[in-house]
Amino acid sequence: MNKSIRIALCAATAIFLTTPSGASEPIGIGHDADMSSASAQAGESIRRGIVLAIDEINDAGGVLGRKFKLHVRDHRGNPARGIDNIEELAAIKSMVAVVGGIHTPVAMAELKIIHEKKIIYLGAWAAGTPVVDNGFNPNYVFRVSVRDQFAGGFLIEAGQKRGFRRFGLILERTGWGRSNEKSMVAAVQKRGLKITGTEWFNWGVRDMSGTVDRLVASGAEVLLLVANPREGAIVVKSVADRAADKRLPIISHWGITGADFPALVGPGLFDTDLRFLQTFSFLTPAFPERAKKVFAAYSKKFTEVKSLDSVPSPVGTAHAYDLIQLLAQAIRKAGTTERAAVRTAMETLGRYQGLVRDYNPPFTAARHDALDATDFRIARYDKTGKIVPVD
Amino acid sequence: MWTKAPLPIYLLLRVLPLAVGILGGGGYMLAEYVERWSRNDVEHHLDEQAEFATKIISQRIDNITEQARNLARNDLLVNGLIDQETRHSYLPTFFESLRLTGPGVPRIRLMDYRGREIAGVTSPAHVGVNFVEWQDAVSNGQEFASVSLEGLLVALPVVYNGLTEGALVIDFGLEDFHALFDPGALTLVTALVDDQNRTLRSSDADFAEFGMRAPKLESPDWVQRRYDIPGIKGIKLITAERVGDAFATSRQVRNFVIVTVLVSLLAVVGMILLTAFLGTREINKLQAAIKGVTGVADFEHRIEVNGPAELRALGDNFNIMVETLQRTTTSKDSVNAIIESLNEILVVTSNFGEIETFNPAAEAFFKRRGLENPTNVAEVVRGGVESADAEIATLMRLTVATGSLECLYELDDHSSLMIEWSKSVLRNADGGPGGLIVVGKDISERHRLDKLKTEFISAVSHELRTPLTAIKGSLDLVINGAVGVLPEKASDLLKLAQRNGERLLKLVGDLLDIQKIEADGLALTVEKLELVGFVENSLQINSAYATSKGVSFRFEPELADIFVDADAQRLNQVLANVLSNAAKFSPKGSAIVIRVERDGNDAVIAVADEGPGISADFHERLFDKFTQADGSDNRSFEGTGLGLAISKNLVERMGGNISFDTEVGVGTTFFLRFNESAASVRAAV
Repeated sequence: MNKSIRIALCAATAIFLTTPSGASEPIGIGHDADMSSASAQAGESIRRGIVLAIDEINDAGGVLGRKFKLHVRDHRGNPARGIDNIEELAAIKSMVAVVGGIHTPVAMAELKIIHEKKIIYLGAWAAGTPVVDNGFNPNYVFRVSVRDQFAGGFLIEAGQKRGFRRFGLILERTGWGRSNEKSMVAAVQKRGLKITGTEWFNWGVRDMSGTVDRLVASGAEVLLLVANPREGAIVVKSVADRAADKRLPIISHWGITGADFPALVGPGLFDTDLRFLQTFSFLTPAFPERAKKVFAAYSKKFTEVKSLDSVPSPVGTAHAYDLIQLLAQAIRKAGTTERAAVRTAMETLGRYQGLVRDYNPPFTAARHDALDATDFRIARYDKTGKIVPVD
Repeated sequence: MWTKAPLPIYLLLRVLPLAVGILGGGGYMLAEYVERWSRNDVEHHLDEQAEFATKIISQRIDNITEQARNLARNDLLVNGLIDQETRHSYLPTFFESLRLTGPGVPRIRLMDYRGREIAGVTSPAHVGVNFVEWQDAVSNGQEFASVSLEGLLVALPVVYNGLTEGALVIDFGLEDFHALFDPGALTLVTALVDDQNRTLRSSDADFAEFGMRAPKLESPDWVQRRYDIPGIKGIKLITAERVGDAFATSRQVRNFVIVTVLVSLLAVVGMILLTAFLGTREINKLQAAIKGVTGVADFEHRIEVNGPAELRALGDNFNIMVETLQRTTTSKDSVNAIIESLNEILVVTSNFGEIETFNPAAEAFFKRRGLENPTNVAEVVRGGVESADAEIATLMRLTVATGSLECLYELDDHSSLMIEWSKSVLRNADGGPGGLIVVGKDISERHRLDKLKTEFISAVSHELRTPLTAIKGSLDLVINGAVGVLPEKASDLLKLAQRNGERLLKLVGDLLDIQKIEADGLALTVEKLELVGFVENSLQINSAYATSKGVSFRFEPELADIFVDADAQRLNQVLANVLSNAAKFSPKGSAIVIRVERDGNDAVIAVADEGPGISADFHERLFDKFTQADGSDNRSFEGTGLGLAISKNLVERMGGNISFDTEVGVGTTFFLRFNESAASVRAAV
């Protein structure tokens, strides 16, 4: 028997074995994120996390004897597309869960259809507090990401640590912006600090120099920015365009890291003092061994990434990786891919040693956010445009 | 065949088709040209107004689209796609605050990426949104505008990060729509129709009412043009004009042309008929006059022809012709009267002698001859005692212009008639023979008298010669001294008597000769003569006379041994006559040259003198009887005047002929010509 025929036979056998019939049918995992628009890099980083986890699990024999199969949908940050994507993904047989993207407004708009279809929604990035605290019961949303309720306080605290007491807020006019305003206002009040002005901007805005001017005029010492990359870049450029002594430092939520932000801003980026929130970093991971192992798989799979510091939007990858591992655990625990059972199992998982942290337990019935402020850190872009922790 | 039709019909058929062709064709072409020109003009006008209207409408649409475009670019709208609160709290108020255009309130809606409404003003939609129609365009990032019975819909993509994420849809109700699409004060009808030709707007209810179908492009009542309006799909702008109005001018021109052509044709027919009538009237006048001439020989009537120059000339010429005819007929009548009264027989025949007409004298002749209705003139001439058929045939010969023949007819009553027939050949207009006129003259009396005269002369001559011979003999004897010497006075007197006696005797001899010749009573004795010797001998005989006249003979014989058949005595007589004539008329001292020569088969005796010559008016009569050039009483040359007549007669009887060659003041040469050797002289019958 020659070699090529033997390979062909093996392939035929493999196809036979993986044919969707009964137990060997793959378990569907959806991915619904901006894959092509302003925050496509965030969507891609999440997809990579999912793929790394799925490959790992599938290579180890899968779950319940079945393998994961990924279905990707692009919503471009547009809630209308997101809703339609969820509907589409939910219609796919054996679909267990959908991993969401960076956009809180999309996630919030999808909540209704998620709970109608009773599909598990795994939040890998979108930080809006109401995404998880959504009022649905049972709640199908589980998140391994920042919770704005904690982020607002963390960012204010980061500013306070640097001696700033008067904060100017620049927020996108969406649920995410409002979610942060709420937590920031609460944090400021709690700490006796002051918000000198709050500026809201729309998606698609083209010029925000007025916004910055007004906040400067309000006496802000630091700007708190809640924006995604496209609008965030406009703010940063507006600041960079100002005279050197009038460039306020910026402490930003992490939305701006959903794209190649340094490229969007251009050289002005390095004229500004920009710090931003991050969770996981391959450079300073909480558990280097785990990170090393995942990076090894990462650089093997995505060969253009050769160094730890060049993983794009690493938080998305790390969060998604952990979420899929947790989902696999829940399926194993539930012993079924039936979504309600898996959802319940998610709430009752035992301790899990994840890439981002040790989850113990990851979720409870009352807590669907797996991370807290202890997982947060401040980072900045170095001169080569790579995210480096500041601590 | 129409070519044989009466003149009016002929002219009509000749001229009418051509006139119909030219006038009809010309009229048709003119009408067609005007129609075409008019159509171009109308279409140009329609195009012009349409261009104007579409420009205005297009500008307004552009204006609205531009406003909508600015609106769609507003980041509040983009944010509305993302954020529900923005959608609900901000956009309705924002939309309501917008004042786009027109008197009505346009409905502004924000649609999601699949055309589902996600925000809008509360007023009801004017236009039902057809997703398929605009969504294709919008999802491809294109702007869309369409008009329907419900109004105008403008849809624009709402773009985020270069990608279409939603749509702004603005629809204008009919109120706005009408304001938008009012192209202003245009003279033509303007209308807008949708794909199904339903009227969205019409400036003239007669053309179409709202919602109703507009007249089709090929409608006979309207001239219309349809145009796309740039930037708006699914509708067409129509500019239209009533056919009646549009082509009023060309219809008028066409009607005018038709009427003109018809009137012209009627006029042509009328003119043809009138002209033909007038012409025919004049021709009929002429015809009646010609009938008058040919029928009842009315030469008195003259006609007056009016009308064209040719007809008038024809009439005038007719009158002249009739006049000429009248004159000719009158002279013909008198000629006829003359012919009728002629004593001579006159018969007119064809070229072949067939009798065509004859006069009463002829009729009397026929009667006396017992001829009943002779058909050919030969029958008439034939039957004479002396007439031979050959001679009659010669008389009838056309190639001989004139001729005569004497015929003696013995009649049943034992009387006889001597008729001298003569003929003339009539000439045609082309110069050819046109028949014969045969005239018969009754010469019975003259014939009888001639006979009587000849007998008389013969008797007298015979009776005179005997005593004259006796007288002459006696005188000769006396003069020659038979009775002794005579006194000189007596001798002179006797010599005078002798000379006159001789002369008288010669005259009597000549008269007898003539008489014999005319009565064919002169018998010739023909023998072969050697001419040179003969002439030489004759010259010797006559030399005494020559000498007496003071001239000499010079004989210049060319050849010897020329023989002729002739009567020696008579030839001597002829030569004597010719030589004496030459001597008589030659100036003293001159020589008379005599030659004998051969000319072909002829032998010629030439006698040349240096006399005064013979004047031309005398040539013809030279050989007649009793002829001398000088007819006066005191003639300088003696002679009986019978010599040449006798000579001619004698020579001809010997088968020769006599001729002369003369030049006044130079001289005269007489030629006696005979056939050599084989010559045979016809003897007297």
